[in-house]
Amino acid sequence: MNKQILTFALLTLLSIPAWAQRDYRVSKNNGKLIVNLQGARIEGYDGNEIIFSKAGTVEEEDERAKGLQVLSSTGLKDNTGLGISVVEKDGNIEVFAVGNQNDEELLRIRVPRQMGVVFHNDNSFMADSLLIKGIRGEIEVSTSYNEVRLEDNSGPMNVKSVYNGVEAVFNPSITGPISIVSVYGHVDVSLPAATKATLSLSTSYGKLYAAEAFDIKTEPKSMTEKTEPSIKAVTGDPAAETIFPDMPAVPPTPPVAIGSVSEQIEGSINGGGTHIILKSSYKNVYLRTSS
Amino acid sequence: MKDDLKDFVNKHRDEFDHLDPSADVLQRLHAQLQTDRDRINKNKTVFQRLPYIPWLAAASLLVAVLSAYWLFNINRPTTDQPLAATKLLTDEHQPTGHAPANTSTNPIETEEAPPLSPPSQQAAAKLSKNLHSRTNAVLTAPQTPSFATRLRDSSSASTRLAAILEIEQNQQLNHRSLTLLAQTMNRDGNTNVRLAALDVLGQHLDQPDIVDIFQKSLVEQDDPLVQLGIIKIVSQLDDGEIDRTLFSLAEDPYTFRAVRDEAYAVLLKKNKL
Repeated sequence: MNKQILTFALLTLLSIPAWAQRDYRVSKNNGKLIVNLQGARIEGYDGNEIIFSKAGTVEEEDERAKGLQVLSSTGLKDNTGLGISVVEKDGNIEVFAVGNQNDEELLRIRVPRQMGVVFHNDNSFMADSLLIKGIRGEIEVSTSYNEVRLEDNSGPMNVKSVYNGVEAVFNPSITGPISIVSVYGHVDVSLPAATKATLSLSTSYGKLYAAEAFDIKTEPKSMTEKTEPSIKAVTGDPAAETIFPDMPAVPPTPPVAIGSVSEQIEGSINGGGTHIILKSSYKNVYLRTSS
Repeated sequence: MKDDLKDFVNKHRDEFDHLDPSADVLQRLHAQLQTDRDRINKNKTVFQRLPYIPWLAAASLLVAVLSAYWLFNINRPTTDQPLAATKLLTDEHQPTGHAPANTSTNPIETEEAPPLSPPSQQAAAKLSKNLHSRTNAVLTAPQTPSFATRLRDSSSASTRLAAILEIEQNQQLNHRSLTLLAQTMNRDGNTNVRLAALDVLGQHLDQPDIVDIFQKSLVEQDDPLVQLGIIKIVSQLDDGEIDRTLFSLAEDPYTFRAVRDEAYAVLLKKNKL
C-alpha cells in the first residue's frame, strides 16, 4: 500500500513540470492593453502588472529547433516564451501572436482593472473564445469569428462581432456609452433591473426580446415621422414646380418597407441614462435582468 | 565597610524627623521662594503666562479669513449663476421635448446660433459690473472639448461615440456637422462609431446633401456592417444613382456576401433588376 502511494506521489511530482504554468509579467497600470490574438481570457484585478500566463501541457521540445528562434511573417519575435510578442508602444501594451498558435488552453491575461482593453481579430479564420471580465476601463472589441463573453465590466465599450454572438453581463455600476453589434450572431445582454439606461435595440431579420421587469418606455416616434423626410428627399424638387407650374403635382410615393423588415426600438428604462446600443442583423437581441 | 555618618543618622533618626526649623528661618525661606517665583514669571513669554492666547489668535485668524472670503464673494456671482444663464440660452435652441444629454454646450449649436438680441441698458450695466468676475468663473470652469475635437479623439472610440449620441439628442444638423458625420461614417476606425454616425444621418433624410452622402459612402465604404446599414436606409430613397451603385455592389464578387444579398433584395423589390 505504501509503495503504491509512494509511486503515485512520485508520478504526480514528475508530471508537475509538464503542467507548469508559465508567466510573463509587465509592470503597467495605465494606458491600454491591445490584444491581437486568436482568443484570450482577459481578467481585471487590483494590481500594477499585466500578467500573461499559460497553463496546460508544455509543447514537446523540438530537438531540431534547439538554438533557433521562432520566425514570423509579421517580423515579430517571441519575447515572452509564451508564443506571443509583447511590446510597449505609445504608452500602450501591444500583444501579437508569433507563429501559429496550437495551444489547447487560452492565454490568460490578468490586467490592472482600470486599464483599457482592446481586442482585434478581424482578419483571421482562426478564432477561440474571448472572455473579458472585471474591467473598469474602456473596452473595444472587433472580431470576425470569436465567441465573445463579457462579465462584470463597467464600460464604456464598443463591441463588434461578424459571425458569432456576444454575451454580456453587467454589474450595477455601468458607464456608457455601450454599443454591441453582431451581423450573424445574437446579442444577449444582462443588466441589473434598476439600471437607468437609454436603449436602442434593433435587428434586421431577427427578433427583439426583453425582460418584462425593465418596462421599456419607447419614444413616441411614429412611422410617418420617420419616413416623411425620405419622401421629401425623393419628391422635393421645387425647381420643377416653378418651371412647369401647370403640370399636375406628382403624388408622393407611399413609404414602403423595402428589403428587410427590421425591428428597431428606441426607448428608456428607469427614466433613461447610460446609452446602450444593441444590434444584430440576422439574429435575435436579448435584454434580460441579471441576478 | 563601616559608615560613621550612616550609623549616626540611624541612631538619631527620631530627632531628625521631629526637628522643625525656627519661625525666622521659615519666613526667610518663604520670602526667598516668592522672589524666585517673580523672577520666573518675568522670564515667561506672554503665551506662557496666558495659555488661552494661542486659541484666541487661531479663532481670530479664522474669523478674519471667513470675513475676507465673504467680502470678496459678496458681489461675485456664484458658479451656479453663469451655468444657469448658459442653460437658459441653450434651452432656447433646443428642440422641444428633447432634453440635452448634459449641461455642456454643444459647439455646433454655438457656431450656428443666430446672434442674440442686444441687451437692455440695465442688463448691460449689470453685465459689465460682473463681467470680470464672470469671465474668471468661466475661465476656471471645465471646458468641454468641441464636437469636432471629440470626433478626432483617436484614443477613445467611446468618446467619439458619446459625441455622436449627443448630436443625435440635439436633433439639429448643419452642413459642417453633416460633413463631420459623413467623414466619421466612412473613415472612423471603429465600426460601432461608424454605425452611430450612420444612424444619426439616417434620421436626417430631409437634408439636401444626404442622398449624395449616402451614394458616395456606398462607393467608398469598406465596412460591411455599415454597408448593410446604408443599404437599409437608401432602400427608402428612389434615386437612380443609388440604384446603380447598389447594382455595382451586388455584382462585385469582393462584396461581403450579406451586403450583396441585401443589395439584390432591395433592387429586386424596387423592380430594378
